[in-house]
Amino acid sequence: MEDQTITEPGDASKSNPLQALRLIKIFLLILVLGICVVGKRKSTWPIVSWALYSGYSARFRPPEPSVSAIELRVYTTTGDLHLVKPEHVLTLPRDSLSHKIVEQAFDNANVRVRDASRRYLMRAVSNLVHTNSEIQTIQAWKLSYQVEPLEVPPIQLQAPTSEVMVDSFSREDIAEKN
Amino acid sequence: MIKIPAFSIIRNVNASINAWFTQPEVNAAGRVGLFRILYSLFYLWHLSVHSADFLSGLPSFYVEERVYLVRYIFRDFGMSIPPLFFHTLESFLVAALVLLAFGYKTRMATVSVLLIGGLLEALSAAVDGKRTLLPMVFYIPFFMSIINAWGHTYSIDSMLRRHKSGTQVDPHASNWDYFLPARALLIVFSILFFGSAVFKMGFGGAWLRHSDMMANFFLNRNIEAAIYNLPLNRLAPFISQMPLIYLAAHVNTLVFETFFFLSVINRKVRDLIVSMALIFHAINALWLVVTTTPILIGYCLFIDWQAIKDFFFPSRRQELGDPTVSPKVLTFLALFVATILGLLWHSDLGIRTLFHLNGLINWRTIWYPVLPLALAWFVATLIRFRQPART
Repeated sequence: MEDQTITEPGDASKSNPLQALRLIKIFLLILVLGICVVGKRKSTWPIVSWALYSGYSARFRPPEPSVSAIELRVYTTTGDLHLVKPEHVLTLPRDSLSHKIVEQAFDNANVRVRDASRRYLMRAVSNLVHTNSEIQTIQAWKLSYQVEPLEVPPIQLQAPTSEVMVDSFSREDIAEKN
Repeated sequence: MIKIPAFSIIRNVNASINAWFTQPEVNAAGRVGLFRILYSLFYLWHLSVHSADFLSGLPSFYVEERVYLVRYIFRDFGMSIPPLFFHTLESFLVAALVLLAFGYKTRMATVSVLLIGGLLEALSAAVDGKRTLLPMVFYIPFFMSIINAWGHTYSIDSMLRRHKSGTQVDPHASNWDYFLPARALLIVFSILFFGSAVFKMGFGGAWLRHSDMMANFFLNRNIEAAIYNLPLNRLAPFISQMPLIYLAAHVNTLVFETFFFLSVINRKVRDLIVSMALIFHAINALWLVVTTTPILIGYCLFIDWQAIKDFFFPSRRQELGDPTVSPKVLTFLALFVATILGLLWHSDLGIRTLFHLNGLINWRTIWYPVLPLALAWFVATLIRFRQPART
């Protein structure tokens, strides 16, 4: 059979291109009106706007003279130590949610929230740390650094000015409350 | 008969919009077909490094704003949903993306990608919405499912059609309907960027009130990069002391976002603005730890992949896809790969590792080749401005 090359609009598609054009125009109109109405809300996904980096948050203020970061020290039942950064806890790298979960897990202001966060953190860290033995204890350490913003690097990552253990919990601590 | 002026204005506006959407586009048929393959691979790479399984067991007090679309389906949210639920959905999504890459049952695969990917992102958006995922997860498959523009070239579907009826689509065809989804996406980008600039300048936005914010931003991001042990921006201290440079970066961001809509003028302006956008995002990712990686695939829709293919494989320019392999064999292969990858995606066999090359391709390194290529595209577009427009 001799091949026939198609070049006319719509010949190749089962769709009617003009009908598709009409649908797309209607959707774009809904999007324009929708974005005007929803503002910065994200509950209306997928009709959401890009309002990122619009406010005057800490990232736009002059750098602080010192900065701190949490480090998780994870001990297994065999005594092995694993260092875990909060930003690696979830499969979303460098995400604010993972930091929030770690902060809540060591914040005693609300015990219910703290314990639920600890259970979640224990599970997430177990998935992250590939080991044959079980995780026994998770310690949160606050590492502080002096900031020299006009230097490169601005902090000495290997030499924190202070290392303070914030809190710790063990598998037994959260098992009782299950 | 009384003529109402408002109606005639609306009619004229509508006619102008139609005229814009129905302009021909060089190599439209082939470029969207090749884009489909790239899109599928990019989405698979994204899934290889991100999983929605973090939602499983996540306490509900982490929910910021529950998305209306899924609010009444998942009342208990992540607490009661096992990881298997997310793994199963992702396995189906992977299988759909493999079929999409091969171009087998393209429309069905596109709709599946839209629905499954949309569901996963709608759930994730409640706690950690990545707004820059929207083009990849929603807009591209949504527009493509309306017209199925990307299934007619470089696909098993086109080979089967040729086998059955002897008809095929010329990849160099410039018909507007193949490029309709791309033009719709350009409008979406224009709206979103314009809105982003509006939020920066008004409605509580800080960008017109603080002239030194970009200087501080460069420094703070360098501190953050140091904490995360990422490569540092050695120019950050210098830039923060040079008002001319940091104010230029400040103004440039606002001007770029406000006037992105000028990309609708013609192809040359579009190429210029999209290449600038890629440079803008690459600098943000490499120097400012501002990750907008998923947006990358949206811009790829405006690259003429067919011309690139013709440049590297000129001898095959005249061929319209003479199949060296039988469509039936390819169909079997597509179904086999889709099944295997779908089933083993969350196994310990390291399938996902293949797609990110054991961590070599991550949200940051992917921008390294983009920056020089976007710069080259930008310069080439500037040179082309001297030449008359192609259609």
